[in-house]
Amino acid sequence: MSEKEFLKIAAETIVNKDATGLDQVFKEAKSTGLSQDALLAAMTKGLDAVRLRLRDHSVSIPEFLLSVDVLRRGLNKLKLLKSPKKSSGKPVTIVIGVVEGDVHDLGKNIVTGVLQAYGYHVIDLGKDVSADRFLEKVKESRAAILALSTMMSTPLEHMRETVVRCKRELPEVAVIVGGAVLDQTIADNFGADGYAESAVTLPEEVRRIRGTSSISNLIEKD
Amino acid sequence: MALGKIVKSLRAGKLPPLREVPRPLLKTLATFAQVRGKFTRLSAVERVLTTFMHKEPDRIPVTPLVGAAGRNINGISFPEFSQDAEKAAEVFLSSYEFLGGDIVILMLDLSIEAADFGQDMIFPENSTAYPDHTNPVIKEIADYRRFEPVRLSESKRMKEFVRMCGLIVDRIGFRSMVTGFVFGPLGVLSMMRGAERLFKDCLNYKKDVIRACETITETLLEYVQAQCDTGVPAVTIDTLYASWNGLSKKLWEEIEGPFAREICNLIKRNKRVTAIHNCGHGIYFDSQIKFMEPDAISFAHLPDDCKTEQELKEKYGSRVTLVGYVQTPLLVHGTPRQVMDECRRQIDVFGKGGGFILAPGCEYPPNIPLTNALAMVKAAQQNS
Repeated sequence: MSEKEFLKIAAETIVNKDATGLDQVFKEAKSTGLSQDALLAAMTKGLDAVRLRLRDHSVSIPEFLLSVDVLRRGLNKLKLLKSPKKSSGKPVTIVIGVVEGDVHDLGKNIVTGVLQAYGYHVIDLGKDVSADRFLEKVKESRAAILALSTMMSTPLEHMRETVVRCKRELPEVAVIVGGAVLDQTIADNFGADGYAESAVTLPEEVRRIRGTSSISNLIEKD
Repeated sequence: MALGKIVKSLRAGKLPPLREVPRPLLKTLATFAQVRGKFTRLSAVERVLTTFMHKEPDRIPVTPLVGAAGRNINGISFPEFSQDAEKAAEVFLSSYEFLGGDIVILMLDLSIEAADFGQDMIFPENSTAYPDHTNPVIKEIADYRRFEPVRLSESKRMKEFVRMCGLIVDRIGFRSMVTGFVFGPLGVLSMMRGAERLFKDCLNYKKDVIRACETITETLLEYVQAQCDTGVPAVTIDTLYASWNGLSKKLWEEIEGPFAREICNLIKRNKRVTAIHNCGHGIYFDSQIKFMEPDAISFAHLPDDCKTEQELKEKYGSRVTLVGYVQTPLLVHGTPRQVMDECRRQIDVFGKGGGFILAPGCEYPPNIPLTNALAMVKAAQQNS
């Protein structure tokens, strides 16, 4: 089997939500001497394909979640989740969480998986997170991006307060917001740098904010 | 026609179940109301009936879908609203009297049923009640088959909700149409498992999820029957996951569809109006109509098979009454003028030929002033 065919199979394991298949790929990769970067690129390509199918609704959220799980499994095998390394410098860190007053974390969890899949170092603070906690963690981790989520209208004031405080206290940090009750206008009104309608559009929005050409933090796309 | 039942309801000062009245007679009544509406103001019930029969009333009916947002009228707290039937009834009644509107939808929160299945709850002072997801009832796959149906008599929150329905129906009388509310079995399950894990289980352990839906439905049927027994003329079922935000259409039809049908059939056997509320994106109108045959669908976004509002009206406007769909962000951040403009626009798009009730796409945001709810009611009243 050629390297190209092998990597195609790696990508397909993500598309097909095939954890066993991925395990087999990793097992064989050892003997073929494939680089970690090549494997990661192939898996990310697979997730990209699923993400685009989620955008046109030919893939459902549960199917997408399973694909993200398989990719996470692959990332764990690559030992990237805990200490992502990039040959040309430090990885971009993103602090993410659901704002105070909201515990709906499905959207945030999907987004976290996608960001990790694209090679970002994600610090997930969970749900019902106060502005103090967000800012403390951003400072401590020297994160470049703060990502805030809410599915409810009641915590919107907490979100606004977090964005305002972050822009005032840490102006170099970009803030991106998302969630069912938000739109671009509200994001603009809050003073956020970006708005992601869903996990599908998020990588492009992060790229826009960072002013880079690649949606991945680790690999250049072909 | 069960004349006896109609007379009994009327004597009790309650609206009789609309489906007890033969359809041709309802149509005649609606036609009469339509003509009368050209010269005089109709009552809320006449207005809703006319629009349900797809005829144009004197003006578009409106419901501001105010739940917890109304608690500030009487200074009632979130926990009191969630747990005390008298207090909750007071909130809904005060909101109705303060704002007006033609339908009162009794949407309290989405955790009522799950709480009675043993799900730990959090009742915050400044927000709607929600399940404590750190301690879900369904921790592992085997748990889907472990829990038992809950009898209404042994329940706490469901029993209190039913009591609230009774209090409100008695006090609203003929002034407006009151609708009960039930979360679909898959929704209840998501409160007991967490949505993310449930979604994956739907694919990997479908039979276990279906078994749990069966258990939950047994309880929901008793719950819905009790709501009907209080005299509510309509019951709304929330099937959120029949949308792009939930399962694929095929999977929803396999898992929740049959149970949703069973619940709706019970509502129909009680001769009540059946409504669906689904505030998801790209909701499956076709599947939900196939399984539930509702009289009305309350929606927040265009369905998956319609690209425009006009297409939605054309495709489904004559089959169901459309209820919606003022967006939550507009209610939170828009001025009353902007809200009224949007309401007028929607009335222009959906109102022709009846079959449209103006409403927010989802519950009126609980922590904002009632100004924009008033703006919605005002917009409908001015658009006669």
